Amino acid sequence: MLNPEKLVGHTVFDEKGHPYRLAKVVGRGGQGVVFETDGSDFMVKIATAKDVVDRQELNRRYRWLLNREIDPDIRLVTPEAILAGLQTGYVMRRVKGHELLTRLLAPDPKVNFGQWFNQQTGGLRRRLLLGALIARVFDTLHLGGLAYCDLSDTNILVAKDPNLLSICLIDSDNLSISGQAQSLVLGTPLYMAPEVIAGRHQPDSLTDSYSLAVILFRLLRLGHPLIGDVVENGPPELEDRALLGEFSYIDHPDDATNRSSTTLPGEAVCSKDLSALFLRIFTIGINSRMARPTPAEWAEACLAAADNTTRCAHCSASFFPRPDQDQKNMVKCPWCGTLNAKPPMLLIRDATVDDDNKPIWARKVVGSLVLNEGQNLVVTARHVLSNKQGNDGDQIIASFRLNLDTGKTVIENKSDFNFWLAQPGKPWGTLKKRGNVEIDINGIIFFGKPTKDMTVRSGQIVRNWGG
Amino acid sequence: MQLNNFSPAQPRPMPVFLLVDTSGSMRGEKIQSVNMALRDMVASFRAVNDIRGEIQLAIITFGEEVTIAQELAPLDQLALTELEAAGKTPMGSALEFLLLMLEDKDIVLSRAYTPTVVLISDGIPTDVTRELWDKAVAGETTVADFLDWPPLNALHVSERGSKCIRLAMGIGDDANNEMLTAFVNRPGVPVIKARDARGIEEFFQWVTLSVTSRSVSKNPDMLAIPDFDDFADAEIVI
Repeated sequence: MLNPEKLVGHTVFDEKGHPYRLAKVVGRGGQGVVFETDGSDFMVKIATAKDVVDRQELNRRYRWLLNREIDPDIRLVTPEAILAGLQTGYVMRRVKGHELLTRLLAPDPKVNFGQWFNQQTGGLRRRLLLGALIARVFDTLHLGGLAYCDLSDTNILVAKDPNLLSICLIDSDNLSISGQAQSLVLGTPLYMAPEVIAGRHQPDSLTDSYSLAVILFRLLRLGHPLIGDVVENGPPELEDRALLGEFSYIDHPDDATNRSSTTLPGEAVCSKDLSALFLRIFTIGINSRMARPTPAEWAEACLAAADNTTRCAHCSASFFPRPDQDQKNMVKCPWCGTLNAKPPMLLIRDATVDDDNKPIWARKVVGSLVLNEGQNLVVTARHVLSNKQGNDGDQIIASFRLNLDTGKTVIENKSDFNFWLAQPGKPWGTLKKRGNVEIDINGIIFFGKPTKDMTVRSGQIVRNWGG
Repeated sequence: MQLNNFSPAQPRPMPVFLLVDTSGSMRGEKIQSVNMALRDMVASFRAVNDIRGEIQLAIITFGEEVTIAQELAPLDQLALTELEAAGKTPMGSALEFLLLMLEDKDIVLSRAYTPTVVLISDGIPTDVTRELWDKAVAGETTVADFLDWPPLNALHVSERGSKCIRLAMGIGDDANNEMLTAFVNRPGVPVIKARDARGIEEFFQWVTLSVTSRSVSKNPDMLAIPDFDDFADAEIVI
C-alpha cells in the first residue's frame, strides 16, 4: 500500500507526456488515492494496488474505459489519460461545484436536524429529484449493457448549492459489461447486495439495482433498510450478518424484530409507491434478484413523489401534504408541526367520449401533482401522454399557475396540439397550442381530443382531495 | 412527533488509543516529532470520507506520571495539548490504565469497532521487577519474559485487550524489542524500530494508513496492516 503523502509535490506524466504536479490528497478509497494537481482542472487517481498482475488489470480497464464511447447523457467521470511510468493510475476532470453525496447522508451534529435536512441540504423534494437523477444514470447504464459495480455515497457527487439539481458519478474504475465483471473490489459493504457479500455472485446490473435501492433509501430516510435498533446497538459483527440479509427489513409488515427508531419514518419521506418498491426489494428482493425494481421504476417513483410535495408556509420545509386527522381541510408539516391550508391538486385521469361524443373521464386517478401557490407547475409528457413510446418524457406540455386571491389557474399550452376544456357552468372550450387560458377550480383540461378510438389524459384542479 | 428534532443514528466509533512514552529520555527532538506527527495524523483522519465509522482518539502518556492526555473523543472534540517529556517509564501502569479504559463499556461502547492501540517507547519499562529490569539492562530478556509480565499478561488474557489491533514503535537503541514484540503479540504485524526521531513521522503515517484503510475497508474489524516498505527510513524488527 502506498503512502500517499510521499507523492505530494511529485510530478507524474500521462502516456502523452503531459506532466501533472500532485498538489494535495483529496480522497482516499479502498482502491486508490485522488490528488488535486497544481494549476490544472485535472485530478489524478493513483491506484494503491501493488501486485503487478492487479496493476496490469487496472491499466487494461482504464484503457477500456478511455476508448469506450460512454453515452454523454450519463453523468460519469471517466479517465481522460492514463499515467505512464511507475505509478498506476489515470487523469480525470475535476467536477466543480459538487461534493460527495456522503454529506447528504451524515447529519451535521452541530446544527438542528431539521435545519440540516431542509435548509442546508435542500429538503425532501430535492432529495427525491436527486434520487431520480441517480436512478436515471443507472437506467441508461443498464440499457447500454453496463454495470457500475461499486455504487456508494463516496462515488456520487451532488451540487453543493442546495438549490441546484445535479449529480455525477465518479470512480468509474469498476464499470463493466454486465455479467462479465471481474471486479478487483466488490463494492462498499453497506451497499453491496447480499449475494456479493456472501461471495456467491460477481457484481452485475442486478446487484447494481440493489445498491441503488440502498442509496435511495439512505438518501430519503437516513438509515439502512437492514439495520434496525438491535443491529445498530449491537457489536459490529451483528451488522455484518444484517448486511447478508439475516435480519428482517426494518419496515417488514409481519416481522417487527428489527425496527429502527433512528431512521426517518417512511410515511414522512416516501410516497406509497416508493414504500412499496422498498418493501419489494428488501423483502423478496433480498434473495430473488429478479424481483428487484429497475432503475426506471425508481426514477418514475421519485419523480412522481416529488410532484406531490408542498412547502410549509412556516418553516419552508418540503413535505407530502396529507389531510390532518382533526382538520380535514388542513395539512400538517411533519417538520415543525404547523397546520397549512390544503394545497389544490391536479388529478390526472384517463378520458374518453360518451355516445354523444362528449368527453367523459374515468374515476381512477393515475397521477397527481400538488399545485403550489405562486409556483409554476410544469406538466410534462410523462404525466399526461399515456403512450410514452417515441416521446421524451421530459418534454413540457403545459404549465399551471395558481392565483389564490382569484382562485383561478392560468394554464399555458406549451405543446404542439390543442387541449379541450370543461368548466362547471360553461360551454366546452379549446386551448390552442401556444395559447393560455384562466380556469376555475374543479375545471377539467383534456390533453388532446378524446375520441371513441383514442383515450387521452385529463387533469382536474381540485381543492378537496383525499377525504 | 416533529421531525425537526429527530435523532438519526450515530456512526459506530472506531477508537484509537495512543500510549506515548514521555519519560525524560524522550525530551527534545523525539517528543517534538511525536507532537508534529500527532497533529498530522489527526489532520489525515479528518480527511477520511466515510460514515461507516467515526474515528475517536485517546492519548495516555507515561513519564513523570501516567496521565490521560486526551480522553477518548471524536476528532471534532479533541483538545490536544503539546506533550512534554520528564521522569521514568511507568509503562506497566499505563497498560493497566489502557485495559481499564478498553474494558469500560461507557468508554468503548459495545457497538464500537475493534480499537487500535499504538505504543511508542524509547526505553525499558521502569515498573518491572528488579530481576526483569536487570535482565533487560543486560539485553537478555526474551519475548516470553514480557508475555509473563503482569500488565501485558492481563492485556492479552482480557477479551477486549487481546482482540484489539496493537501496533508498536521503538525509538533508539535502548527500546526493548522483546517487550514491544510481546505487546504486539500477533504474527504478521511488525514492530517498527526507528534509529532516531526521524522515523516517528513515518511510523505515524503508517498507523494513519492502517486506521484509515480499515475505516474504508470491506470489514473494518479485519486486520489491515499496510506494508512498511514504503516507510523505508525506519526498520522492521520482525
